Amino acid sequence: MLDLVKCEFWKLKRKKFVLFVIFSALLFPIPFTALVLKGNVGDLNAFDGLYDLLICMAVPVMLPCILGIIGAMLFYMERDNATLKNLIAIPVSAWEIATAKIIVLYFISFLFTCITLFSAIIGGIIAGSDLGNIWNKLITAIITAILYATGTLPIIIAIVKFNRSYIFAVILTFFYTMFGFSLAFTGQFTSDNQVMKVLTSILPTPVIYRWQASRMIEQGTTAFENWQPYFLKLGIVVFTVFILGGISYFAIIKIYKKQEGQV
Amino acid sequence: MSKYVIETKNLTKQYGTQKSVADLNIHVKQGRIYGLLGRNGAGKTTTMKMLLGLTQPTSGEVTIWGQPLRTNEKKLLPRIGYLIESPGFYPNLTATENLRIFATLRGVPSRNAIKNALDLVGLPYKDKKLFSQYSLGMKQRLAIALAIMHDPELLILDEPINGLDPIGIAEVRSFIRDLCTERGKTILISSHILSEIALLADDIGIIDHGALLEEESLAELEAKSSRHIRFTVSSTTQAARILERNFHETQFTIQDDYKMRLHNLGIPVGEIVTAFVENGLTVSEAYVCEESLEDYFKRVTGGEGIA
Repeated sequence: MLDLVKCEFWKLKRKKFVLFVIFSALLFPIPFTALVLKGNVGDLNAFDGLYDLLICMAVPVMLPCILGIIGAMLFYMERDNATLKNLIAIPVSAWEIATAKIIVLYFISFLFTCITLFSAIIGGIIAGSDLGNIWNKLITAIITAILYATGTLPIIIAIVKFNRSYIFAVILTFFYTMFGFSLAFTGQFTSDNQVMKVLTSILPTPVIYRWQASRMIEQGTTAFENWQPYFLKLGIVVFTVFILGGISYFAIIKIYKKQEGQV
Repeated sequence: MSKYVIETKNLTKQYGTQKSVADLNIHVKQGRIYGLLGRNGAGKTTTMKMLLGLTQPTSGEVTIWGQPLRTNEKKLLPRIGYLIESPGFYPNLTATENLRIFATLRGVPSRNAIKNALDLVGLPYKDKKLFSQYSLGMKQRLAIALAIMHDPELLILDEPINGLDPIGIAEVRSFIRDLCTERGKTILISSHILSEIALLADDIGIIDHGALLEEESLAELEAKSSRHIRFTVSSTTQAARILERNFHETQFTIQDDYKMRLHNLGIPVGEIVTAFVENGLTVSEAYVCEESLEDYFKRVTGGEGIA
């Protein structure tokens, strides 16, 4: 499996979008750093404030989009280049190929959140703040990476299932990302609608945000009291996201196996 | 141990109501080149895909080295090199990078395997040119390099000369022949070009509409299709004596007690028949067969389509 994962990374060589991912993870903090420098994060330490903004706002917008598009690149690659037949007759099974591609998504997710942390450190240094709790932030970055990568798997089902163009995959990914983001930041706090409550309790982005917000908002503040009913413990978040991710994984394998038979 | 490297038993692939391959029984012998000849759409590629486990047969069985493929894929497939349909590689990578991916997945132990494979097909090692910038001929060569890189015992090559220029065709032909004669590889090759198969193959299977029409050695097929006079007489032993005595002719083949072939078309048929009758023989058939190998294939497959 390690060789397969290694090969999946080699296949991404010279793909400009991967460089864009790294670049965007480094560039996205710039406007947030500007906000922090202007004192728009209240009494928080600049580094803490910048990191929280990045992990709670930049990551939910950027990461699912990036993972969806790279997922499409990885899964369409064999179809577009007629290489699936070469792999299957080695023999490498369809589930091994699909699993390797999904592992790559986890690595990229991890890379993105770690670069985000790195750029937050740079922003913190620019803002002249104390760089405290770096290990704690690294753990949060890793957990966030795992949760978002798992939370993106439902979109990979659609990409694999419909097996269409990149434009279709991009539109689908953006819709999924924006839908999750809207629910996380507005829907769950502004509506008592039961459907909304169900959606914000099962969809990955709102669920992850309900855990992240509990860490970001300072205890004892009015904001904390107002948001407290919506907070979720990490265990519940992991359970919810992994149930959805697990179902998605098996669906992806099943669909990919079926496509293997049509080589 | 089976005497065949590949053996199929009633191999069938059905899409909907249409049979792409129907009850196919092919037999590929060790150390020989087997040419699967058929028109476009005859079922050659589907057959090869089933031999590699890329497509599951609707019914029937594939046996490779005496073992059923279905339950032994992990054991059998690594011993096979293949080229199926168009060459499939990653366009953003170079030839070396592409081969490195497959070498890694195959667990190719030799460090020089990639270089050797590229050298054999005449492609540069560690060249900076990307696969997307390759010509069709270069792509085809790279696909052949991939097929041989892990030094397989059996090669399954689907139309390997597609896209090659005349010099390239000659090179690949000689290369395939060397693989068989010098390295003892067993090769199954498909083509719709009769001349290619005739130049390369030791054994030939003619496939049409998914069914195997003939399976014989090239020598047997050539004998069937050669120019000759065919006689059906009351006694071939006596007829042979007359030919030797009256016409000083020894270039004939006796098939059975009544049928024989005369390979020298220089003697008028009428004179021979007269001699036979005068010597008390009954002649029930006497005709000239002037069928070329191509005519023969056309007749067998029922028309055009084989170049």
